[in-house]
Order: sequence, then C-alpha cells, then structure tokens
Amino acid sequence: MDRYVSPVDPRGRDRVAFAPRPQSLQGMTIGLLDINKTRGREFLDRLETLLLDRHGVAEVVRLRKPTFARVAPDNVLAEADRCGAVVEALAD
Amino acid sequence: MQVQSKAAPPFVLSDVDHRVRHLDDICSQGPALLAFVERDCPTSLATLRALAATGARMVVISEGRAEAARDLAATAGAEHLTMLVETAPYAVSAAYGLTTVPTLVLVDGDGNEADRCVGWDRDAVARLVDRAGGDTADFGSGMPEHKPGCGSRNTYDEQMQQVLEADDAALAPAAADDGIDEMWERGWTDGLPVVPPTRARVDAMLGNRDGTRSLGEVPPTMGELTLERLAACAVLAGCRPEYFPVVIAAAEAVLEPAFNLHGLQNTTHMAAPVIVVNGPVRRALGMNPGSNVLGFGNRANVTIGRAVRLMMCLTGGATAGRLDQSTIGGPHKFGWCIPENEEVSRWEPLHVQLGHAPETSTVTVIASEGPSQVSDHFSQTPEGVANTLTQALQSVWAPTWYPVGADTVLVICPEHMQMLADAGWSKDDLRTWIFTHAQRSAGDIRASGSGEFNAFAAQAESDDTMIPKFLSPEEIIIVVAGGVGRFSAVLGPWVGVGLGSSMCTRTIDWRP
Repeated sequence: MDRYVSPVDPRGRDRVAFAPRPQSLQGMTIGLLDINKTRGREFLDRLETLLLDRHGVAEVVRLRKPTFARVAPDNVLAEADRCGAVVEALAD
Repeated sequence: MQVQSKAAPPFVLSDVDHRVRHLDDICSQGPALLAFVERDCPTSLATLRALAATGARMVVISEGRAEAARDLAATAGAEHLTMLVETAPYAVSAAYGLTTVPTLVLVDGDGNEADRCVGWDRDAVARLVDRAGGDTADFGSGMPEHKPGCGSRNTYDEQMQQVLEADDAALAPAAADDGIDEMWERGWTDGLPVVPPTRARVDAMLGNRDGTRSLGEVPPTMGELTLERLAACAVLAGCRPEYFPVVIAAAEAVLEPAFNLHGLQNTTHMAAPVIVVNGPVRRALGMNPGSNVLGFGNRANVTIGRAVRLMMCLTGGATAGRLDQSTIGGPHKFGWCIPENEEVSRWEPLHVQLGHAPETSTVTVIASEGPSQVSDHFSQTPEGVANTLTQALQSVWAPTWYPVGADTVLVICPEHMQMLADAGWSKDDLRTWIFTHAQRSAGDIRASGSGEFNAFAAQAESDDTMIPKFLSPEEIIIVVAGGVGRFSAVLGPWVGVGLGSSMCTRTIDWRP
C-alpha cells in the first residue's frame, strides 16, 4: 500500500491516442477550424485552396470558435464530427 | 567462551531512526545478543548476514556513524534488526572490554553477561544464537569454522577514530525515509520541496470532512478533485489544517465555469489565479496583509496559493512545459494569495463591494499576470496619484493594446489610499476616474506595431477618436494591501470578459 496519499487522479487523460492518419485525402470532407486568432482565416483560406486544388478533397467545411480561450462549443464539435479530419489553426 | 557472570555495563544508545534504546529494554524478555560490528570489517559483515536469518533476540551495535550502520544493514540483509549507532570515543565498546569486532555478548534476563564470542567461531556463535531463541538450522553455511575479526574502534587513537568517521560520512545517505526526494521522483512538486502527504497528515487536513466528496474535474486532464486529493495538495504545499477552508473555497472558485480554468491552464500567457481573501478569516489564520503582501514570508499567504497551484498541475495535469505551455511563466505561478488590508483601509473591502457582509469571509479569484510596481513618491494631490496609477494601468497586456476589456487588479498601498481618502475619494471614485482617463487616440494605436489589427482603432472615425483601455469601470478591481511606503502595484489581466476569464467569488465555509 502506498504510504502517501496521491493528489493525482489515475484516470486523468494525460495522454490521448492519436487518431489513425488517413492514407489519402482523396474524396474526403475536411474541416478547417478557426480558433479566432488574428489572421487565422487567411491561413485557412490558403489551406482550403490547396486541399481542393492539389489533394482531391471533396468538401471543405469551415468552422469557427467564438474565442480561442475556451473549449469549442458543442455545436462546433458536432460539425467537426462529420468531417473525416480537421485542421485547427492555432497561430499566436 | 564462558565468562563468570557479571553485570553487563548499562548503556543508552540511539538506533538509526534516532529512537533511544536502553540495555534494560533489550534483555527484558530473556537472554539477548549484543552484536558489536563495524562496517569495514568483512568478518562483521559475514557474521551479521548469518545472524540476520536466525530470528534470535538481538540488537546490533554498529561502531561508526549512522550512515555506516545503515549501509552495513543493507549489505547484510539485516535491515529488520535493531541497529544501534555508537560513535567516537566508543565508550560502550570500551566498557565491554572490546578489542575485536565482531564480538557477540549474550546478556541474560537479569542483565548479566552470560557468554561471549570474539571473532567468528561457527559452533560458539551457534550456541549463543540458540540461547537467544534463534534458529540455528544451516547456520553459517558457506562460512569457514573460524575467522578472525578486526580491531574494534575503541582501540584506535582519537585521530584515527576521526578519520574513520569521516569515511562513514562520505557514504551515500540512506534512502530517504523522510520522503522528500521521493516527492521529486514522483513529480508531486512545483519544483520546490514539498511536504510528503502521509495518511496522517492528509487525515489531519481533512478533519471531519468526507474525503470522497468531489468538487468537480480539473482541466485539462479532467482529474477528479476529491476533497482527499485537495487535502493532499494542501499538505504538499505546507498548509496547516486550519487553512483548508480557504483552499477549498479557492478551488471551488477557480473551477467555476465563468473563471475558465481550462483556458488559463493551456494559454501561452503568463497568467495565474490571484486569490484575494477578505473577512475575519485573515486575522484568524495569521495572514499578512501588510509589508511584502505580494511576496514571501508568511506561511498562510504562501501555502494557500501554493495548494491551488499544486491542484492545478497535479490533479489537473498542467505541468510546466507539457500541458502548461506558458511562454515565460513567472514566480507568481508558485501561488498567489493576497489578504486585503481591511484594518488599515478606509474604504469598503472588495467582498463588501461585491455585496457580502463585512463579517463574511470570502475568496475572489482573478486571472492575472504577475505584479508590476507603480512608484509615486511625489504627487501632492489625489489627481496626481490617480494619474500615475492610470498611466500604469494603461500598460497592462501591452501599452498599445486598447481596450483590454478584462478584470484588472490594482493593489493600492495604504499611503496612496490615505491621500485619496483624505480628499474624500472612495474606491468607486478612483476607478471611475481611471476608467474615464485611461484612453488613447486611435491614431496612436494605429501607428503602433500591432495597430493595424486593432478592430476598435480600425472602426474609429478619425485619428483623434479616443479608445478606452477598459470597457467598464467594473473591470478595475481595487484591493488595499501592503505596508509603509508609496509603492502600489498593477496586476494585469488575462483574456477579456466573456472571451477568457471572469473573476469569481466564493464564501469560505469557516466560523471563528
């Protein structure tokens, strides 16, 4: 038995397994999540162009959080769920 | 070797855990062996190894410092035995007439020496073990029948004894049974030493409270904050049990959704929760609202804030450089608790401004940068002081960023407060003045490096349009604190109201 009382919850989600990477973007629906930092939109605009023009992506879904400082609201996460993959623009 | 029975010389020695033992205690339950040994003596080591497995009533008297005794016990597999420590000038060894280690002395239940063996003699030692109630099956297997020992330390001169004890001291210290190093190994620390959260200490911190009660999940790893875990954090921080009600209230406050602890934990900003304490609990706990109020030196001030930080990084999992990626951090992240100086202040304390009765004790948490001092030793008017404070406040977040629209704390020292109060100003008067005067022209802001991205400046009708630093006077939170002198401080904000964090207040479940 541990002689000390732990301040740590062993079930705390310290490490999250990465989702499997898609082998190809062809025909996929990709979400682009703007976290509402300055000029994030420009970066994602460029990404959208590249994904559609060069990688055969079928559809790009533009998503936006109201503020970068809070977890995305449930409706934004629900939209992201219908995408095959999501790119989140962090910028700082 | 049989000896004529004579009284074994009494002694008082301490064991390796600093517990004092007397000869009387040792042989009170029947014949017992005194095993005089020395770490550097190979025969002592071999003898002790053989004795350790017998279960005989015995104590080991190790000549040398405690480090040597522990080392010998570990090497010989004898850590379960009572190891007494005998240091220079080895008077006990001399009293027992030692010339050699190992020497085993059998003392009977009346405190008389019944027999002894000098050096290793398998048959003789086995007889002593048997008389001391030990098991001699396979005793000393693998060892020769006879083996001489080494000179006992009482036979050396003082200089040689000092040389030998210096060698003892150079041994690696025993595995820390005080737990301090282990806390670093477990990662249960903010970088500084902590108090190991033993069951006894955590239970004392919890008192009659239900340790399984949950206060919620702590982001970003969503570890569940039970009262027991929070008590462990309070112990680690060095809190006394009487501080725990304040720690609980502060933890509840930072876990309120409006405070947005998740965003604060994962920001690159240096912000941390500042905990303002109001009400009678401050004096009851001996908190310090005066000199060095923002700094060091007072156990309650420092450890209450530290307990909350430890909760954030241990239960919440936001450790520096991993899930806490603050670009530069700051010393205020060790913990930050400010009792308002209600006794000296002539103004309403913060909690009364927020609608609480003066006799209620509260904590108010605000996400904030570290303190920036504001010196004003020359203003002769309240407007002068207000102007100095206002210009300092206009620099928070960045001097060119308008508006901040976020909770910003002004710690006003008693002497600045007195100048304003003497002129009839209240806290509200001061913050209204600051709100009204903390402005900068759109042209100035547009001309600054980040100006082209400022939406307010972009929408201004002209370069002369004034942009306010604060969107409402309520964002300016005034707390009177500090000692003598004319230094106040500005505690800049984190991200703004509605977008980032809002201050939260909780009453403390505490009675005088």
